[in-house]
Amino acid sequence: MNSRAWPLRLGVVIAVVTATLPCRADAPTREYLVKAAFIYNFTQFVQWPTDALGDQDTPFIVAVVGDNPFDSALEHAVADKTVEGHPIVVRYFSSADQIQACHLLFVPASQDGATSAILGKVANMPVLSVGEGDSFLPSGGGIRLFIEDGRMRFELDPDVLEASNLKASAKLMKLARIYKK
Amino acid sequence: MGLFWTRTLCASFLIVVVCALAPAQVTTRPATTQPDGKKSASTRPSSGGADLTNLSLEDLMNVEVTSVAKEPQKIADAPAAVTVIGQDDIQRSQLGSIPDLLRLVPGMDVAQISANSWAITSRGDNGFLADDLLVLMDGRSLYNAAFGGVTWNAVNYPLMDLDRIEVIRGPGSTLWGSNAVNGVVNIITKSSKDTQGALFDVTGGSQSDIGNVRYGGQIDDNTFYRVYSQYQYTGNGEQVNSDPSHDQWQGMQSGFRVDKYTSPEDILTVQGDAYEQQLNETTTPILGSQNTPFFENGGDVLGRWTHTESDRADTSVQAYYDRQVLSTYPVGYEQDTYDIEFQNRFPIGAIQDVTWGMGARDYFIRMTDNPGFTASPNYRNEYIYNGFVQDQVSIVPNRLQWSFGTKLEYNNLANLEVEPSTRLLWTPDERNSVWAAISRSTRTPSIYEESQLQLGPVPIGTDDPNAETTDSYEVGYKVQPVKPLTLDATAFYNSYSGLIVPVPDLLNPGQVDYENGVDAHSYGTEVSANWQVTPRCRLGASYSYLMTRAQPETTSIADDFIPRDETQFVEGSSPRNQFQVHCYLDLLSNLQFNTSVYYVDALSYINALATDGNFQSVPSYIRLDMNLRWQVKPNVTLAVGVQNLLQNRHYEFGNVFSQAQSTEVPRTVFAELTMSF
Repeated sequence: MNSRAWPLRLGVVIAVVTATLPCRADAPTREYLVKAAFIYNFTQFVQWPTDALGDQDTPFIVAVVGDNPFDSALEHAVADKTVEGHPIVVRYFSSADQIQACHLLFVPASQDGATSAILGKVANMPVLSVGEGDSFLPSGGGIRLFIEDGRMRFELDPDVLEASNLKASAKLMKLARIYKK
Repeated sequence: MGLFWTRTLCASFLIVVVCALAPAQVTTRPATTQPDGKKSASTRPSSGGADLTNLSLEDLMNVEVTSVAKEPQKIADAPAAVTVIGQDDIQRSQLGSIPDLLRLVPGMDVAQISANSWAITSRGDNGFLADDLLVLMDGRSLYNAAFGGVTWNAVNYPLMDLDRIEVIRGPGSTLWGSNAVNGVVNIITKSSKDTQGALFDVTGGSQSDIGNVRYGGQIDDNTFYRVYSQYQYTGNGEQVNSDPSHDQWQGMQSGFRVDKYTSPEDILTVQGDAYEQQLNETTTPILGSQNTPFFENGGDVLGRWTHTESDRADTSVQAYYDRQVLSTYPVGYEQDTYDIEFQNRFPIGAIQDVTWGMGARDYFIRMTDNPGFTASPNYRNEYIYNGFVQDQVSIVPNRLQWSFGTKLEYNNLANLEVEPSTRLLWTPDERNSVWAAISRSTRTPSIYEESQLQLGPVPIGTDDPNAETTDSYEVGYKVQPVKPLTLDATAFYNSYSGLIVPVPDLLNPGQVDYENGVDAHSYGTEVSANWQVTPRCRLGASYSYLMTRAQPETTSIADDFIPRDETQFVEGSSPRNQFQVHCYLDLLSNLQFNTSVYYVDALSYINALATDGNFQSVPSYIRLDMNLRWQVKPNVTLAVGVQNLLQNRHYEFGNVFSQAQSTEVPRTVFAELTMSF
């Protein structure tokens, strides 16, 4: 009887231990881990004009406006990585007014109401705007990240990228859903 | 057996050690298009294990962010009891075969009869030949037309290349046709666009060993392909009296799939598979266990063209050929199926969407006599023409939707089956939806229920039975009270008439005829919940209840002679209560700990051999599974786990035919290694 009870006892112990394990609520969700990886890929497969990148010491700036849904995922995604030799850094701007020089600007869904103001700040400049909300592309955004059938997809507006003097590689264009106004 | 799994675990441990010591490399994939990125990625590993930025853009687009089941928009739209099993569920449950994966569906009755056979049904009336469930793989029917059921040992595919398994509990006849009385299982494989590169997956366990190899590539910018091969071996089930059982089996399957994205609106798919298996001792219809090896083989080839005009209009055409061969089974059996189906969907105005289609299927069946067993006639050709139409009307846009439709089937026995259904969906707001449905479905008699057969000592005749008809009434409610929590409840009442049962023939003593002899009704409920407690902890649970009552059909002439057995069998072949709880934890971003508990009630009328040598009804059981999944590197995953931790072994089903011997399902341990390139 003793030897047959051990699996039950082991099972109960394991179940109790795992139930009391701290479930940390501050870790970034899977959705934003994947979005951070996509943002890194956009920096690699879009071409910025040389003068926009500046001299060798100028960092490539990935910025987030409004709140930060990534926790530290964005920093981890770009740590020790470069764009044409320029080290990538992450900056956070609290609102549209605070936006300074950057190369890629991420607009979280929480900023839906302020999208026009934000995009107005970077329109026709060599800044790649990446967003999440349904109204992002109609408001003049460049790339929208969304989830379909459980997987991450992205929709791209080629006219907006062209107006910003940005060139998306053929590979990015093939994988993107193309948005036409 | 103990030495076997010890060795397997040691081997797996050694593989892990070797992988950990191997020099860290940035994974490279075979270049298929001109590289035009400007990667200068550092090789320093980032903190926290799995580094998604090491994945190519194509691989990133394959990462499962959420399982489809958690996209409430889509599920709330369906006025039916739908469950979707996605890759996340497949990986975290570590249920290593397609029949076992169906355990995850609330209310699904999955019982392993022996090491190589399963009894699977939804909402009642289970058995080795459970015939009320329509099972499809990529739209191809897996139904065995002669005996009326699915040979589950022949349903295999590399699990990592499955996109999802969609299960509709309840009548699906209006869209899917006859034999979908209590459910439709659609096993959907991934497009070859999503399975690029090489993948090795090896599982070693105390009961089963499985090896999968797959390679996916690109022929040109728009054409993708994959080829795969799978080998599996499963050892014997357990016997109560510790006699050796002989139900081990092994098999090999290979196949391919090609997808051509000819234009943004058109996709052309061609796929095919071939398999062969050797099974030692198995449960066969009528005869029970046989101690000689059986050989099964088969294959299929399927082509499909889909044309999407808009999100409300599309067309598809599909044709396939399928072959199943069962040697020495008790008669040699070959089935060739030819099938062609057409489907079109178009809108009428802003509020109506019409779906309609037509199809034809032809079965050619040949049975070869063996000494003592004859089948007459031993060559059959059956064909079925079908057509269906369904209209979906938005009575109040986004709030109230009513759909109605019917399927018409005409078969070569000059029988016309009509299967109508009507459904109502009310969505008062984004968080709640209520639906109700009334449907009629039929199950056409299988060939052996219609033929004169001599399979063993009992001659089998037929009374030319009609199809069984079932009227179903269902309601359902889905709610998402807060974002991380979804609840789903369904209740149903089914009225079955004319269930086909074997009845002693008054004119030919000793002979048994198949006729429509039993009526039944069943009712029950299925409730499930999904709760994302924290980003790293998800809980899932479901409960189902089923009650069936059967009585002889009073209009049957021989109603005095309908064996009490038959009604008791209909009532007692499925468990009354079932529930399951899952706890899925992400201990680290690359380390999962997954626990599942399943409770299945006793079967009141299925008996299995007990330790004292008598037959007793199959008792209830609790199954506890646990596994650890570790993503060692972005392209290497190791999983170890135990199944049935609580019990050495247990019965899930019993002897249905006089000679059959079911075996017990043992506790198993396993290790799985997956590597992709």
